[in-house]
Amino acid sequence: MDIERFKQGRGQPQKRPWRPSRFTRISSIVEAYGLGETFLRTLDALPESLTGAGLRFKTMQFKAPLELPLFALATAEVYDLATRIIRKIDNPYLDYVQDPEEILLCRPLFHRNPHLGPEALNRFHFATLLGRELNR
Amino acid sequence: MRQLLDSKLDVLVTGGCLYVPLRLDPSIAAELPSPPGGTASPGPAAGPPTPPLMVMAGRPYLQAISLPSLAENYQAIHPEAYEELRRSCLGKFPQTPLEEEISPDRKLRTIIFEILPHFIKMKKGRVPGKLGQAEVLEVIGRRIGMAPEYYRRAQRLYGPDSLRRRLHDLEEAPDPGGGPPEGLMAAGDLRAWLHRVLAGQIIDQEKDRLQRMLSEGASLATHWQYLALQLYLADRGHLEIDGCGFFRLSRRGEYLIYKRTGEYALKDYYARTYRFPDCRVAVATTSRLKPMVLERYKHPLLHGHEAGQEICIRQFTPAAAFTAKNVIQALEEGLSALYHGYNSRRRNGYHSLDRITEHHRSVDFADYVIPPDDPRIISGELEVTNAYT
Repeated sequence: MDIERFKQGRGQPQKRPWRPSRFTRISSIVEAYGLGETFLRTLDALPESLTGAGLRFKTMQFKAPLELPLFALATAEVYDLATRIIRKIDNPYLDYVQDPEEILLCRPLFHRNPHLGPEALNRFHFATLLGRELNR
Repeated sequence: MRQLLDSKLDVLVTGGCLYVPLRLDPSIAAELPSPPGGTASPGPAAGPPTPPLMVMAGRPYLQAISLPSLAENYQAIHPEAYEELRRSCLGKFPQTPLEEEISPDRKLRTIIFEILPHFIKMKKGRVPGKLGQAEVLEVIGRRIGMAPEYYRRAQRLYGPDSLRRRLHDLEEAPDPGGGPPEGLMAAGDLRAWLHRVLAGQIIDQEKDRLQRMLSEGASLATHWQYLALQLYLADRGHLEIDGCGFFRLSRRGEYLIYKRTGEYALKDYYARTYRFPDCRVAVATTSRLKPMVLERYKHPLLHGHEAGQEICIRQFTPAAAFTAKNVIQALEEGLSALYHGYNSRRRNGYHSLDRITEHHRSVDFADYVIPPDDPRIISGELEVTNAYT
């Protein structure tokens, strides 16, 4: 083994585990739950900053299982809806959503706390995380 | 293709070309001439007469296949679906049953005209493999002693009057209509058009066939003989000549073809002789052509003592394709393994004929031992097939 080449290799960026793209995730949810224009209207109607008044979240809600394909090829309707959702919610938490409810809560959660780590976002449902943020 | 035609998708047909909805991801969408979901822009996206991509009502469609070409080659693309369509289409003209209605597959033809003649014993000077179809049918009919009733039934069904009536009915069939439809349509509508076109093709082919048969008297006689044989098979279910035969399996259009070994003898290390009873070596057309024994049988090259065992053959890869050559080769390999495969010096195979130890053996051949001066051995009736191995 050439030691110099080995040392040079240390500076190279580490390989990262492959993750499906944001489009793959959102289009899969749209297709799996049969979402349509109504969902987009609900998303529009939901304010970004939730105060917690009148809202009741379960103490612990688990993430819905979601099997993502490696790549998504969507029909024109699904593609249109998925891209509109992505454009509307332009924040990194969207990479962790697993069901339509999490898509809805994505913006309020990011607004309340934009510093949540991947571990929490992967592990807890956004309703649980938002409930905790609102109770602080 | 069938999945597409059976789906609920909307497809586009322009200039005889089928366009299917293009599925999208961001990179594909970026390459489109106009974004999907935008304003409706019917018409080609580029200059050529049948462009690879069309945008219709804001949705992109990708060029898939030429519809006339699909109709022309549908038989090769989906042979089973075509056969089904053919049967349902010709079933509307119930004047006479076709030969295919009794046996729709081509395998039977291969078995009767190519495989059986290879094993039929002929008089001196005649080569069975070189016989014409009429001669093969004549020889088979004579050997199996087919009742004249079958010929009479076949003549009644395939007589010139019956054929003319059928031809007349086919000529009365409605015209399938023009070329492929144009514009956006449901896949089901396209399927209906394709079926109409294929029905027209099938009727034209059948008319040609009937006209050809009516113009060739000799060929008609061959068809009678073939149909008579099929009627015989439909009644009996099996056929055997000179130890070679076949029978239909429960699965439609599949057969089990066999050749009998006859009685033969093998010798062991100590030159003792073992008489092996007759058994059928067979290959099934359902899977790879692996030779096996049909009867409950024991042999050094068989693992146990039961029916349906595959024969252990070295350096033989069973063919997957059903052809006369492959079937004949598989049967001959199987027979050859049973006759000559066991070497008394090397004691090859799963078992040895002679007892090497006194331990219990799963398969024992002691009951097959015959005296060396057995009259059948001396007269040459029973041959020791591994004498020179």
